[in-house]
Amino acid sequence: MRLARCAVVVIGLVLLTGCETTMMGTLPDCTLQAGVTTVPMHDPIYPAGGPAGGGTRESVTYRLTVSYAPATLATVNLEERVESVDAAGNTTVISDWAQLSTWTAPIPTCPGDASKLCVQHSISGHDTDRLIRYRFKLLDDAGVELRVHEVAYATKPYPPSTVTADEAKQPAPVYAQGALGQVMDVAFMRDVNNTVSDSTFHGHVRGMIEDSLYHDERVKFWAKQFNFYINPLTATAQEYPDDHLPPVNAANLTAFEGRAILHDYAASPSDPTTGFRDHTTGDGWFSTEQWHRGTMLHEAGHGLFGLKDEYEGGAHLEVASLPNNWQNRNEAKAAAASRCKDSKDVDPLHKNSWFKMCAVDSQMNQSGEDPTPMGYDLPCEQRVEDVITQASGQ
Amino acid sequence: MLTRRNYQIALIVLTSLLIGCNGSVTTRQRVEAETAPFNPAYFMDETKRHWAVPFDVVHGELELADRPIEERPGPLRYFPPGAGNTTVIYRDMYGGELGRYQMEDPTQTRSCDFDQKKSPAKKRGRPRGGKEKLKGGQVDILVPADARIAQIEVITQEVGRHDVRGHREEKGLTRTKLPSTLKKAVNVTR
Repeated sequence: MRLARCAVVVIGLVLLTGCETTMMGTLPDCTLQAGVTTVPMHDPIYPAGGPAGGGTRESVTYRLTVSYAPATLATVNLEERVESVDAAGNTTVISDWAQLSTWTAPIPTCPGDASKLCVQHSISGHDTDRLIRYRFKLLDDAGVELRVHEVAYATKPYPPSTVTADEAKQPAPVYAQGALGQVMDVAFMRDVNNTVSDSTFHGHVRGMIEDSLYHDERVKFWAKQFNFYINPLTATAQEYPDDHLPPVNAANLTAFEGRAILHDYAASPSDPTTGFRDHTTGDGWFSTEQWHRGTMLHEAGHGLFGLKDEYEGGAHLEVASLPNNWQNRNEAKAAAASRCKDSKDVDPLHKNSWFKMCAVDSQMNQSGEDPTPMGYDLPCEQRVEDVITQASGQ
Repeated sequence: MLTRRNYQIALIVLTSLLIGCNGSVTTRQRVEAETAPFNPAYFMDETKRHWAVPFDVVHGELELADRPIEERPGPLRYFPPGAGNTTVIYRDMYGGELGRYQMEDPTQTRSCDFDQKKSPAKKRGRPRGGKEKLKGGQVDILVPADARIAQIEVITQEVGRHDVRGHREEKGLTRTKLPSTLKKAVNVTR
């Protein structure tokens, strides 16, 4: 009897606190919790390997940015492990985890942003045929791990990318963290006419990760749940509405949630007064100027998270769970509280046949060179979090 | 009574935490712990594969193509629930549903490019939307690599059930001719 009464009270409290269980799980909070968020980065993102002291080997700088750093943070350690890779992708550990650097409190703040912590460390690089794993460990003063964030990257050339048959070439992991199928896998490839230097192209790929996807606060919170690759073969970006031509090894990329063709067209070949008209094909290949971080974030909203357009004339759909488009104003208003918005936030999208509640600066309403300051906005971020959570359980 | 009330409050708080009502951080810890580390050998893992079932786009409609099913590396990618208005259902030889997912209409290209013509000086802005039906071309419908799959139903504006039992599965990337016993495009629920 006592237990039954407790259960009733528990259910009542759950309802009162606004926890809503959807088909996909429990709705996330409306504010990003003060959980520590870490974004490691290495630059260049796909460094050339080579013998020590040789001309081809590129030095690498490891960086870590920490948001919502815990008050008990006392030490940050950087460790590295080196594995050799064969053409099939089998790895052998050459040197196990070794500490490269350590920082003790007070950990330096980021230049221009005192709310975040930033550390960095440079190394002279590695041989070819290597998969490098590095990790930042955040520790308290008792040595207890507060968070560990590990990233793997290949040195160039990467053996599985250089096998003889083009069809069998594999994309090189340039920022990999989780098992294929449990995280969001995204491949970048050059358009056939994109002949910028490796240094420039790799810089843009790093920018697409760091300044585009991880620009959104909720995506950044889940930064560990992504793998990024560079495909060794080019695709051909076609101007809308012609179908893009995928790379010869396209079959090795269809397990990925995102496949981005990065081109270098500053203007449309058919109309130099406009930009190249990018688009997504029916089976999910999309093109963008390689410097367009806003377009990348918008398209990732579609391709990775199933978000719908929030501009008039886009592709609209009210999905069953955590939608960001509604077909009925009253339903949208009724959903507002559980989607971190007020009913007054509901706006018509298209002649009162579609409705949304994100701000006009939501990334699903914007595209172009720069991402919007707010990223996706909260209703979309709820879906981002839910999709990442569900995808990990496959 | 006070003790019982305290007990109830403690139970409530504990239960609320367990069901994750405010659990972004807790959920993240669980998800990260359950995610296996990256291993490039996954591309060669015979147990984690998916099939690409070939279709031709003919006058904007999907038609099962005269090409073999390809087995490809990696598990079937994750399609977010409600990702589009096209549903793919894969069934066994008796019509029993083995699984389904939603995707964008594969016969349609979509553009959300920033309208530089209207705002040439801006670096971002409202996209100029566009949707265009493909007139031709090839589309692969992806399903898990599962020997039980005998039928694939693709539900868009048109509904059709495609019998793929006659397709010879070819591992790797080599393509072979189809057996002549192929049946295709049996519409059952239009």
